[in-house]
Amino acid sequence: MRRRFKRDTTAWVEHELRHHRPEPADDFVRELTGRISADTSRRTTRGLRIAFAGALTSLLVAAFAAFGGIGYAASAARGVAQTAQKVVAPDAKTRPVQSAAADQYVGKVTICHHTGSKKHPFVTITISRNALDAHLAHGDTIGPCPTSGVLGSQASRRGDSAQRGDVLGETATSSSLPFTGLGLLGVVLLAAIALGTGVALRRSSRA
Amino acid sequence: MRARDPLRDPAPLVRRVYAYVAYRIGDGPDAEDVTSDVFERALRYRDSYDPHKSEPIAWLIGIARRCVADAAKPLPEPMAEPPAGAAPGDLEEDALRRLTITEALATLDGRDQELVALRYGADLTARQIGEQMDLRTNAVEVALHRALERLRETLEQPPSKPVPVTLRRSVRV
Repeated sequence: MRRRFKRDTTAWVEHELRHHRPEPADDFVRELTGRISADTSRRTTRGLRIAFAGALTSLLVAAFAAFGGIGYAASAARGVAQTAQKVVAPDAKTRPVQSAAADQYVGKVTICHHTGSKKHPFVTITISRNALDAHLAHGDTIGPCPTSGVLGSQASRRGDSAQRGDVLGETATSSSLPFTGLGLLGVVLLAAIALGTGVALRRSSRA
Repeated sequence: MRARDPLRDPAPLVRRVYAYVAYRIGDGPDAEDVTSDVFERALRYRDSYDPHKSEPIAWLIGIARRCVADAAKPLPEPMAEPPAGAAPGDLEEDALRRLTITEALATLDGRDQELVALRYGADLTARQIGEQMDLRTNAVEVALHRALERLRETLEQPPSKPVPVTLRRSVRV
């Protein structure tokens, strides 16, 4: 009760403080608000541009990787390293590495055996060198069979023992890009969208 | 980014910060300068704002308190006459009343001025004031009530008896 009474005695002071609260000039508020909004939009545009650049870079890296660019780069680097090694130490003799597994299979050879079956046309087997000629005459090939996947399944569907290159040559048509299956039109559209977004962002940052 | 942007809707924030600053150092160009400074700093450090810790106004008032401390200007001396540019009629009455309140505020000590400015200028809650001043909510309410009592006593004094300047204490908290 006492507290309530005390509160009532100061209520009009509270009212005065609220009612006569200092107010800034409208011009000042407008100017400061405009400055803040301009800074906000500038930051937003900058953030969008960074995000766009990041997305475009990711897209380029992904496309590069999809077309085997990373593999080419790796093999090129390996080639450079080997060449450099030959230049630096031309007389260095390389000792063949013989593993325990290789020791175990001395006189044996791994081949891709063509079974003639529709479900499992190839099978990787290890045979004696003495039997190699007979297998080759039968149509088998030296080395393990190609791994299963798009190529293997396409080849097996055809029942064709064609080489990898033959299958790839047929897959990469004029309407789609090799390895990815991406349509050329899709790539062109993506590029156009990226270009348009870049131009729009550039314009908005200049405005 | 927009969701955690403390300056999404700047106009009401500008008004509240200005009112706080004006209650601390007096209405006018100096308060505008300090308010501008507050928002300059806020723009510079807006990435450091954490919406989980405080509301935008509490964050801004934290900056404003430092700016006021840097400005280190006490409330203006009480004036016997209203400003020359005061408008006639109700506006003049308003201006006089505002002046009276400013004078009465100047009689409070720094801590009480700060409390009143935070509560009635920045319009913060007792809990938010407690966070700003490192006080418990209850302590804020009690201190605020006492400050209002002192303010009431000053305002109820007859106008012919001006407040001696020497009795005023520092505004720094």
